[in-house]
Amino acid sequence: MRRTIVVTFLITLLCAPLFASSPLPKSGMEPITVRMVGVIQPRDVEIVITDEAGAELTSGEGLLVFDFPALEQWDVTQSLRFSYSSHLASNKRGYLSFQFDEVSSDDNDSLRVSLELKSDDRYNTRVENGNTFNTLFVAGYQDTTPMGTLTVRIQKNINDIYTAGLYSGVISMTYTEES
Amino acid sequence: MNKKLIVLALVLLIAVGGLFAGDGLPGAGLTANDGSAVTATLKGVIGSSFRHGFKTGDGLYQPTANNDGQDAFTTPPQLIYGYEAKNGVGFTSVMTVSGFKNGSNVVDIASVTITVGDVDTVKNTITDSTEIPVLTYTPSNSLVAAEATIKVTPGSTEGKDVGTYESELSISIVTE
Repeated sequence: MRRTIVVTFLITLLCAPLFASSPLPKSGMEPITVRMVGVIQPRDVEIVITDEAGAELTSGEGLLVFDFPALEQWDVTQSLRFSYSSHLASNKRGYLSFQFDEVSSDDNDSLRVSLELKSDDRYNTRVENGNTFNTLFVAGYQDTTPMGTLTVRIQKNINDIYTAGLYSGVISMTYTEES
Repeated sequence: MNKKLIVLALVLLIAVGGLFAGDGLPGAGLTANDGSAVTATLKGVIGSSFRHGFKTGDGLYQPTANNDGQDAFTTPPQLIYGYEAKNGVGFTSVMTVSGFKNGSNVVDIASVTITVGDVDTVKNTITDSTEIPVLTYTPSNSLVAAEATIKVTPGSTEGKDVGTYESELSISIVTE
């Protein structure tokens, strides 16, 4: 009996190669690899100004229109919001300063105008000298990040006498970066 | 001698003989002994063949390729993968693709589109270890070629640091 088992085992061994399939060739079977590259380019600071209605001031000049009430005294304001978007490789500090000329009429009457600056991001923007936003532009992708709000206030006291007519003035902005 | 022992010895002899039998290489043997006939033995082997890779402009399959330094975030890379095979074992080519990495920043893969003929297969949820079948092969006695276009679309780069990111696409062969 034992010999029969041995013989059967040997015959099985003998026949096994007959059923083996031809293997894939080893050469050329290695995994293949390709590297792909993507680049995120830095994008400089872009300051966006929006008015109280949320409209973006896109051109180099914006127009603010004030309607003065027919009262003995009044206080009218309009605000502009400043925000920025950027994609910087490293932090950068910038200064946005405001100056205004007199708002006057053709008769040389000048209105009482003041600018009020308020930071909308107390961690990265602070107001300096009452007329400058000192902002730290943070590295990395920044999408519409608030800086601050500029409010233009025009007041008339009871004792002020202004002639009727059109008054106009200019507010200019200057942006500088820390070198 | 015992009959069973003779059978056993015979079987052993055949078995041992099988160990030395090989596929052999193509060639010819020629023996000539004095006073005997000259015998020439000819052997031929039909071998299996296989190669795979990324197709280049000249139509060859190269083992590696790159996307020519093109910015993948601007234009999603598109590669043509193919194989030529003739053998008795079926297989599937399976790809993995990593996210685009730059240090700890990773831009995920939004989708992989595999086009075979006119049929698009889109895979949307992809991690570094996701295995995506590309092409399959069924055993054939003639040389078979197949190819697929692989398009890798990176995800959003919003919030990611500025810099150069790299992704690795690998294709392995998994036999049946």
